[in-house]
Amino acid sequence: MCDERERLIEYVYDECDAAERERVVRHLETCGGCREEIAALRDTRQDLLAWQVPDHGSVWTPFAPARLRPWWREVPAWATAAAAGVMLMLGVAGGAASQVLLARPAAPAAPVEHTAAVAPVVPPPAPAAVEGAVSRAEFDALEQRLQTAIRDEEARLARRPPAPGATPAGLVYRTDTVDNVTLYKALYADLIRLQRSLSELKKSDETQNSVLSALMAQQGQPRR
Amino acid sequence: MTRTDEELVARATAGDLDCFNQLVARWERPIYALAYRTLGREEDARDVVQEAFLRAYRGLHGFKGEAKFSSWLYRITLNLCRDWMRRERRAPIVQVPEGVDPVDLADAQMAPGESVEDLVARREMSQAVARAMAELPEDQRTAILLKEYHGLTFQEIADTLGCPLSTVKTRLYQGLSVLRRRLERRQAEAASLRRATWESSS
Repeated sequence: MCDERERLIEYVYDECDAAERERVVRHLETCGGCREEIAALRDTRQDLLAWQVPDHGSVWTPFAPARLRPWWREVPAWATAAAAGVMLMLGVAGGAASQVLLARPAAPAAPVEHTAAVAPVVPPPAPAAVEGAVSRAEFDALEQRLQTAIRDEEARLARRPPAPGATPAGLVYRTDTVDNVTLYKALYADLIRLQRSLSELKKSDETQNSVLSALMAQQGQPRR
Repeated sequence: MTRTDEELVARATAGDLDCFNQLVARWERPIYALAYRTLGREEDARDVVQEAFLRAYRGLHGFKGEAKFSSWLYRITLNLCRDWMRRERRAPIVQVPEGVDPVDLADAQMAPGESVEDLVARREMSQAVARAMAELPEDQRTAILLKEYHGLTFQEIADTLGCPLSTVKTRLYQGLSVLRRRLERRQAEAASLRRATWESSS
């Protein structure tokens, strides 16, 4: 037999190009050994078709395994970054708000005489003055306090209609503007808005300062 | 609309289990056939098929699409079969009954126009091929399985088995040559047996 094994097997399986196929065909015309070899290979392939696989049912039960990726891997990176940014701003804004809103106005301090020999007195920090530390708690406390004040004021007004002038509580009703209840409600609404959009309040320091100053002014106005 | 394997793989990788189940439905029969012809026993083939698809599922993220999904699946299956044979320390089993059971024949699927004699001959040939294949070296047997029963090209077989193209052709040629000699010998033995049976009965 010729040394044509590789070409013969390509020819039998029809995996040769046209030129190679033509070359094998011409070779087979003159080589009886290779013709017999080709015939035997084809017969063997025919015999192989007899090997049947037993019928079988499905061996696979469609399953619902655990997710390939944990759910947090499917949150877009930009969303994660945005959430982190919001949390950061929440903390910063909360801290700043707590400094402004919740710091008790200290009694007018007596003038301190500074001398070269006396070290400056550093007042202890207010409990709620730690930036970003208690933002949610501070807001909750403020909300609670405002709700209580609104309820008390409503109850008091129900008992005694508001009148211009001083009240037992020392509040001053200004008939030329809104009454205290309206003022408290407006302040409370501002607080809710502040809670819902702290990120907007923090867009710039100026915006934050102006809003917080307004809120502070509103809060302090009835007590004047 | 029928999705391609690649589309189903992409969706399955993204977590669509239904797409993976579609892949299984599409390839379960060929994979089972490969496992059965490699190992020779139905229950072992079923176990291998289960494990092959589980491995495929777990490895979907590692499938980069450089080869066809089916080639990748064949490779997983063949590796599992090889592990199984090494673990069992034995060659493939030829799980075929001795002789032909008439009761079994009654349940057999006969081809159109096929006589009982033809059916018996087909079954005997099936057994003869199974035995001859089981006796082949593993690399030749695997090359023939992938070529004859799964229609892979030489290049796909080379990729699946991780060997050169020329090696695939050599294995095919040698395997088919050995098979031919063994099948001819068995056919001669069977013919001799039939002749002896006929002479003793007459």
